[in-house]
Amino acid sequence: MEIGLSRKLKFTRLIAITMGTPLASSVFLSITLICLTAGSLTNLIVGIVIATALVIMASLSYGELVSIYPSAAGNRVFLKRPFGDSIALGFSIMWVLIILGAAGVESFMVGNVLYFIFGTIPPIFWAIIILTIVLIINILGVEISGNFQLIVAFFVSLSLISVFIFSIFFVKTNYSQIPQSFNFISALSSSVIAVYFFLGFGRVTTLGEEAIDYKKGIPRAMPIALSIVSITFILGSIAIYEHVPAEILKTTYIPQIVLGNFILNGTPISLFIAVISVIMSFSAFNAGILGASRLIYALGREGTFPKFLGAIHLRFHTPYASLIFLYVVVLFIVIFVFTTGNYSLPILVAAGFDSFMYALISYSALWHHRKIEKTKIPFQVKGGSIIFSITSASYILLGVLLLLTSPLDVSLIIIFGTLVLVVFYYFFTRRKT
Amino acid sequence: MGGKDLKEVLYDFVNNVNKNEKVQKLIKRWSTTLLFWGKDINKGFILQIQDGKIISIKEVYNEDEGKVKVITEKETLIKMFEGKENIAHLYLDGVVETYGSEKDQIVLDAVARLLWK
Repeated sequence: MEIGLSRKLKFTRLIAITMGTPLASSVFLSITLICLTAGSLTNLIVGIVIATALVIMASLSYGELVSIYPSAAGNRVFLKRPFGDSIALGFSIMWVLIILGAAGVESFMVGNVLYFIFGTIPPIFWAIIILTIVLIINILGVEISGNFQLIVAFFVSLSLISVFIFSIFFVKTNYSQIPQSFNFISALSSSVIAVYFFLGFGRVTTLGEEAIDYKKGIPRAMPIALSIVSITFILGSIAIYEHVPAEILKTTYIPQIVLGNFILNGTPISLFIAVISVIMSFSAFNAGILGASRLIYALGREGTFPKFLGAIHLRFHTPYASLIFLYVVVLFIVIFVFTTGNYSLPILVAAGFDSFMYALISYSALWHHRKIEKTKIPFQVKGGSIIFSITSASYILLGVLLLLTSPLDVSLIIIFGTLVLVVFYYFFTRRKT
Repeated sequence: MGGKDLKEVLYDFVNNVNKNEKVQKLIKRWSTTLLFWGKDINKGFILQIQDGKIISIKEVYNEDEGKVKVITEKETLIKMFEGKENIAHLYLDGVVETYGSEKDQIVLDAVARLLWK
């Protein structure tokens, strides 16, 4: 009985860890973009449902790969055999940059939220203060227990779901003024942006916190976690679309708090949402920066990155050099986002690149499904070949659609960024060998 | 038996860790239990570390023991303990499975680096 209970708790923790990275408050900015793109409530809902279905299919690809390579360095290992080291390295490092871009948007959001709560100093300084606190916590090696992560993830999700359900069902809206028509292309365009909702869910595959049931636990935990995240953000998108006018959405950086103002026309619920947002940001920062620092550290140790990035702190036993490196990169992104106000660039780049990454991961799952002995795949997806092929093709389509419908700089960053890294590592690995 | 070579290199490793000043400086506050599991031989070794000193080695036949686990083929484990394989490289190549807190995994990697640099 006790063992059964302990296993259930560990499985629930895996769900919570998977939810941890996507449950970031910068998602509310991507909700703004979706609300402005969708054109109707139906398009918005269909778009997010399509994105959810596809990301769950992508999670099946991750599931089969993590059962073959448990606790490995994630995308780098998953892509290496079918695509070769230079593509695996180039895409993995680009992915880290994407996560850092998202951390920049998260800082932008948390800076604005803290300014709403406390005022006094400008949002950019709040963002820098929070980033610095996160850096110090990580260098000191303060570990957040799995049980605490579990409580935070479910508290955040349940709180948001409650607020959104309340606003959808109990706050009056003039439904006749809300567009309900359906257009497939608009729905698809929304789904491309909704890919951002799930950014970083695959981090759970690299953790290796616990060995018990790891090979089968993670593949099963991911679809459940993604469904909970999806329900939370579908409700959030509907609530914001219904209650916050487009003119206000275009000018605000804190749509979730504006929603709070529209619901009760007062501070209590806005303040509650603001506090939840800050918790989300801390949780996402911790997950994103920690996850990326381990990879940077290992690459420094391996010699792929400069050696100093493989340094660890003698007293705290943390990869302080890679953490400081990540901090500096995020700081530049924060300054860019605050000075330009252009938060959509990192979001669209992340959504677009993630689409191509999921396409490669699904192809890799297909490759392993066909080439690896079945006994060496502890978690096998029934009908894997068909599912992985459809997922890969769908994400390529979504990625291309995003490139075609987004500003030119989004395409330039995704295409040239990835190409430069792949070509660089092609020559780098050749020289090394 | 296949496990014997592994046992020998493990004892050498223990001696090196306990005698190496730099390693001792790094791990003087570190207490944990490490499991090195050879998945092809279906057995492993538990190393108990207390305040930076490895105080015992025990042969085990249960994969569930240990706070930090390193799981791979026996030959890879031997190469790791002889310093012939870079642990970071093995991790990036997906050759070893490592479980446990991130901090413990990084310390283990740093110990190996100090021993064989």
